[in-house]
Amino acid sequence: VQQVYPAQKRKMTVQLNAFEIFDIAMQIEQNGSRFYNKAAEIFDDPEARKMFLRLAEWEIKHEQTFSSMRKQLSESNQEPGTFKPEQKLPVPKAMAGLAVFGIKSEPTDELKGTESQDEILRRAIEKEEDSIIFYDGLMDFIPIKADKDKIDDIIKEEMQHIRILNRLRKRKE
Amino acid sequence: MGMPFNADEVFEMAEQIEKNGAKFYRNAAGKFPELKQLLTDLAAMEDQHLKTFQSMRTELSGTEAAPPVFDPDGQAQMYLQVMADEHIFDIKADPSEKLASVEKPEDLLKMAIGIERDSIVFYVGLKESVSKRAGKDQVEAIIKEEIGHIAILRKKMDAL
Repeated sequence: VQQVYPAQKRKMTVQLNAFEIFDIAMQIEQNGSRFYNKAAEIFDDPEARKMFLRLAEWEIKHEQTFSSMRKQLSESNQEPGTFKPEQKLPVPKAMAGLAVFGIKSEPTDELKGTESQDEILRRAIEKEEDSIIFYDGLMDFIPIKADKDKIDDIIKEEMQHIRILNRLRKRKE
Repeated sequence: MGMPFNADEVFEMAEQIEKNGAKFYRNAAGKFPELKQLLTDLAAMEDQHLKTFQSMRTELSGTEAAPPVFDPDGQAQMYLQVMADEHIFDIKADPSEKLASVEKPEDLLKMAIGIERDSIVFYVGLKESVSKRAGKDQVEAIIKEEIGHIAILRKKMDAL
């Protein structure tokens, strides 16, 4: 994925096509992975570090899932009469939300290394929440049941990440 | 993992979230006259969501006695449990109390977005847990509206 899709420059009337939506999803996962790798550098607790590195790996797996879904989309587009992913999609309310959360795919909120551990965990949970909301909105644009199920699984895994982060947060208290 | 919630309890939590949200917006409207209209409108919308959840719950209890939520792998249950955990999302806490430390409209809007975000994620978990018959589509509609609220709040923030 190239630099983040410029959703942040767009206003609420934004229209994205399916490719662009997948690009944002991939970017979210890349940013998430980078965030966790950085967090692993900051924490001294070996167990927490290990957990962050694992989380970083899991996010890369999600990115790969989105990437292969995007690829499939472009292949199916070669067949006549199929869904045209390059078509701009209509703008239901969820689309405004997609734009809102697309903004969060900006890598600007990278960790500086000066944040407290609690701040890092809080932000990690926030990021996970944003991705869950984005993927839930993304489901509206997925016509294939098998793909919907894959995204559903990713949502559940992100929920699991929140659980892990929450546990770490409790331990730090 | 236990099964901590049945559908009735989950809807009760959703109702509490909406009550908290409406109260937060009303109190904030009193504190920030420049945002009064927006905040009052948002409070009214949360009232509406509360009514939806209440009627869903009533309907559900009319058809069967507190059915367990549909959640074959227990993930959504687990998630609801996490969300209900006070460390992330204290449903019992009154978010209006947080208002005391908020001085700038920008901070208020940021806080409101955080509250909306928490509630949406809870509803995504809820949606995963309820069957179509129990009102999956209605939960979906509420999620979309809450996302709409974030869009409104964000627009206002940009305009400040």
